[in-house]
Amino acid sequence: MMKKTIKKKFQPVDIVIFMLLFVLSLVLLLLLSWGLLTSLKSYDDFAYLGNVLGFPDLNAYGAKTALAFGNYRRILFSTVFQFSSTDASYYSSIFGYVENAPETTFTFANFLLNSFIYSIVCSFVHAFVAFACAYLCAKYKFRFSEIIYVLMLVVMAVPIVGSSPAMIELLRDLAIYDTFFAMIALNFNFTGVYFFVFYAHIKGIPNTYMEAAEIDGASQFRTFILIIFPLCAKVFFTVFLLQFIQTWNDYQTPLLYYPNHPTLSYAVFKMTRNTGGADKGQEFQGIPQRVAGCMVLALPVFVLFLAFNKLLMGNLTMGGIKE
Amino acid sequence: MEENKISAENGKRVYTRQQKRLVFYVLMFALPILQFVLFYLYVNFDSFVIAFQKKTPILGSITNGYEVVATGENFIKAWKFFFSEECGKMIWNSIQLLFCQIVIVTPLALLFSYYIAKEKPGSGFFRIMLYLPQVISVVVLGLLFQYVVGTVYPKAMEQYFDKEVIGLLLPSSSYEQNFTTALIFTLWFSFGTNVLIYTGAMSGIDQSIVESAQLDGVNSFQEFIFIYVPLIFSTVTTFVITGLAGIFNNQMNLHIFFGNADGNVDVFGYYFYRITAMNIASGGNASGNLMNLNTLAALGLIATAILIPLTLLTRKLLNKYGPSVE
Repeated sequence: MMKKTIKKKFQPVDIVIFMLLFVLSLVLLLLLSWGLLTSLKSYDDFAYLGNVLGFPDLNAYGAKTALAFGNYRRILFSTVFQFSSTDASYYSSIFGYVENAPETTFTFANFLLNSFIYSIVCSFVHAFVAFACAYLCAKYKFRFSEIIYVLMLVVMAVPIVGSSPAMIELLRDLAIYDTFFAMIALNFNFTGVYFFVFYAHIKGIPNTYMEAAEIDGASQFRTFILIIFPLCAKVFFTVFLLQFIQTWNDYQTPLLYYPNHPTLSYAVFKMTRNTGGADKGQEFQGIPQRVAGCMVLALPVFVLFLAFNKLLMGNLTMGGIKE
Repeated sequence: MEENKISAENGKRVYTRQQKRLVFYVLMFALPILQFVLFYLYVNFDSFVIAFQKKTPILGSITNGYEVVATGENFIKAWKFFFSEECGKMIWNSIQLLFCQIVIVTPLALLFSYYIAKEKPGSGFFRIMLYLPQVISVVVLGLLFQYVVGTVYPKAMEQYFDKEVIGLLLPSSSYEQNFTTALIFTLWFSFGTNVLIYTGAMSGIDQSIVESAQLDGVNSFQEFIFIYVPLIFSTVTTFVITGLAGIFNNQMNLHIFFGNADGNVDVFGYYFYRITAMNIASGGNASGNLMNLNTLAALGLIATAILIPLTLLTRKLLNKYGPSVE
């Protein structure tokens, strides 16, 4: 009887899908395993002995240090990186003066700190602004709310191509180019899908909550913070996490708008490019060292994913989360 | 009708509920609206203005000043470029990417979502495996992938099969090999979000419909084709529209593989980013064959002008001819 039920559930088409999913999963696991193994190899082991696929060779020069997370330790604690400021000098030049900014020295701790500050602040700002504006549109029946809602739909539907030159020019005009204010300003927006996620969730909250708070003498702001926010805390936290991961992994925005304050993602990208010239003393010419840098970048979000995977993969729909 | 009034007891002004709401509304909306006006409306308007400008360096100026004149020249250059062989190749690549997304990724993502939504064996594990590439930085996975296909693959072929091959995703590899490899990586990377959203939509399907179909004897495939796909087709439409709308912005991760300088393989999104960055590197004085930012802005406007009606038309067609729930 049991066998019959299983047979009924697992039909030929399911076997095909299972095989496809298995292959996709295997590719990912093999890629990550290869990365982990390679990061534990010494430069000689990988480059001179040609050990590109196997386990670390213990007889290779520097193998024991590499196996004891030597590549990781070197990146985290004893490497100094230099970023030339050519990007910044360009923007200076179009706006009237030229200066050859000196190379700036960074340690990996600087990258980590930049990444954490950038990701936490920007993600919070974006999530909060989207949440606040969605609340205003959903619960304040003004004509303007309807206009904003329609405008957000239009913004999402209309594709804009190639506006980065104008954005850079504006940031320079506002004198915030390559400052942290630029990153906050760019993230202080409520356009995008999260506005609609919050809107749908807040719309479902009965107005009686707010009316009762107001009758009890709560101000509009207190009602927003003490009544509405706790009711949306789970959705807010999920949006914050998703935005955090996206910001943490983003290397192109800092590269264009925040070039002299490299985040970890930006630094790893620069470090791993042959032409990047990011590292001093050619310490990162070897693939094992570069892969170790990649692993350091992946680790924080991987830990976050392990801790909150149910929340992150819960069905964040236009009607909130459904687990 | 309530009005502002002075409280008889303490002389303080008393505001009506509606006035309090209005004040809060205006204060809370002020900054986000300002940001929207500046960073969306103004920036896009400025893109329009830049596209009509020509900047000429003022000779002998110690401040590197520019003379700015209004011109339609950028549009003529951009228009010519749009019909050049180089741009044709880029557009063709972008179309191939979109085609593969619609024809390969969407059906497979729907099948995978169906498998996961039905909680078939291993669905929890597969869900994580499909979503994980969205969590781990594309820089990390892209570089690991590039090292594997570019360095490990030729060495392994030499070691184990005694065969000499050129690595993939290298500037020295052939155009076709690089494009195909980058395309495969991009398609693989795009499953996660698709599956997550489709699974969410499928979990909202009324199970009584599915059960009644099962009583009628439908198999898994029929259930998928005639119940699940039509019921979530609005979500599928949204994804197809989003893919189309973003086609000229999609970089196909080429920047990770080749950085700024290498134009071995181009798609529209990568070209825009690459040329902007190359203008940066050249100190703002685009020379030789490098397109300047003004012409680039004009090219962006042309691409936008083509894409908007195309997106709206596709949406209309999908809504009209897509599978019906009935």
